[in-house]
Amino acid sequence: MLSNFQDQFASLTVGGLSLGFIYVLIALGYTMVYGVLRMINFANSEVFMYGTFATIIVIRDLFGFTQQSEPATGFRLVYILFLCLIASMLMSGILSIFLELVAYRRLRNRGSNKLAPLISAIGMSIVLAEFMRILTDSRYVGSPRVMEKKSLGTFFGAELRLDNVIIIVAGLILFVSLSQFVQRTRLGKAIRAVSMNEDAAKLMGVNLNFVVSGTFLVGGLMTGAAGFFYVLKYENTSFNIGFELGIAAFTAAILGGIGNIKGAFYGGIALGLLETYASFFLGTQWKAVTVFIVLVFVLYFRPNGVFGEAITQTRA
Amino acid sequence: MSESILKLQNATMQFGGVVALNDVSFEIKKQEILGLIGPNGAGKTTVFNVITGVYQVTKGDITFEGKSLKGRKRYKITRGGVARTFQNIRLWGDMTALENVITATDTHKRSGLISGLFGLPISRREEKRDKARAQELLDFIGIGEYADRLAKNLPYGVQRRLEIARALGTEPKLLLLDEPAAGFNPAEKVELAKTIRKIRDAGYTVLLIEHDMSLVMGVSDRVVVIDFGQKIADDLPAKVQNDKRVIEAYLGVPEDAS
Repeated sequence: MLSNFQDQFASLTVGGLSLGFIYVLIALGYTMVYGVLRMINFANSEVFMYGTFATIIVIRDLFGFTQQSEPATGFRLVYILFLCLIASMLMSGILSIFLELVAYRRLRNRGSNKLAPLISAIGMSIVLAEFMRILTDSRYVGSPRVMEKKSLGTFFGAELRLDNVIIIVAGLILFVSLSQFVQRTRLGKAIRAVSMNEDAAKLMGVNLNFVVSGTFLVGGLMTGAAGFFYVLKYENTSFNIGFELGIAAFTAAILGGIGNIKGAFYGGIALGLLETYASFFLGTQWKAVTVFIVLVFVLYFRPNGVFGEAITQTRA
Repeated sequence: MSESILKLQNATMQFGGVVALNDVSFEIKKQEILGLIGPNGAGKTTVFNVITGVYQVTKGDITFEGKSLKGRKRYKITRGGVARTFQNIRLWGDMTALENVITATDTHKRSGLISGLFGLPISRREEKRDKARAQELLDFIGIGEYADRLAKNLPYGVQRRLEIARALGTEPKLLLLDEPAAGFNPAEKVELAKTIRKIRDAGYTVLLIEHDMSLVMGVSDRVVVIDFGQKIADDLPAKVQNDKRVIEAYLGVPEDAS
């Protein structure tokens, strides 16, 4: 009985981690934009949703998979999955840049108050979701099974399902790449400079509009990758999944400390695990309650999130 | 006389009904240290802000190397060769001292997007070169030993000097220093004066705003005085010190004196 419980707990942890990485990647979309502009891009949830559709389009329309198709294997499977990942990342990255250009840039450059871009973001979020609702006839869209979710064996009693393993490994690679990008590249350094002190950055020759576009692009790419992972794991999507996943990822960003890349990582992982454990031990109906009780509790002691600094400190 | 690098021509800056700069004209010559002084609120920082594009002059013009700066974006002015430090320190606190300088060097370059994004070998080599140059600059300013410490953890005096090193990192032709000695003790001020002269001798042109009279008078080649947004003197330090209008501006005019 006890070992049975341990095995289940270990398997849950693997599932929770893979859900966690989906949250991490979406949370990066929120947190990077917030770091640079001190603005919540509420439409990032829809950027994610469009990313899930890109993967389905590749599987269904580019490779012609149907619900009756045999799953792909070997090299062909790797090739298909890689294309799906690229398609989702590009779809979300480009959509994200586009959003900034049409909905936020002018407001920012004309010196609007802080609430105008926020409302604009909520508006764009609704427009994007409703547009997809019309395109999909308000239905759930299933993904043909492109990969058999076989078990790769067990690790300390945890069942290693192929999709979960791919998500965890690829998610980790993406996160490390992003950290390196922000630390080492020219654009990455400019992004950090703007988020630490915008005025100084501008006067040191940083082209703010370019940096903002770059931030939206990179955040969108990460969010898009999450869209691909979501379809890989759950094999369906719909016009309204952005809302649920978006709120959860946003919560993860707050939990870790918004504006902070490391915060998005730990916040996302913590939330993924917490949700999975709560659903299993208390029942799915307790999932949201548990998550938000923990959030309020953490914020009670760390009002700026676990890794967050007060904004005034970050800016000084 | 050597040629001028920056010229203010009848520059006027109006905020609503308040005239912060009124018809101010002066020029800065190449490789000169020009001191800009004036009582509190005289408009010194406004001069910096119109030069660096934070504000646009409402009347008149500013030319840098013969070209008007009107309507030029801030980052383009910096890339054109104008750098500044701030009265209140604005470093990038969570970067090391070295990174602060490298980032300033980086951002003003017109980099290829792709190489900038992915750090291809070409930019790797550049990265090494930038690092060496940044270290040189820190050494030049005399804070080389702090290279790997986070800017926010540095002592105050070092932070002030780091601001100068970072500004030099953008490879400017003209360096604007906004009260670099604020909060310094006399010994530190002497050191700073040496550094400023060293910067000039290395080929830069310096425009210095400073409250500390002995520093300005000691280090400047020429001094411009403004009061209530107007230029009231423009001469050698020794002459400015004895100028009647300057003394009045600083000490006030006794009522029965005039």
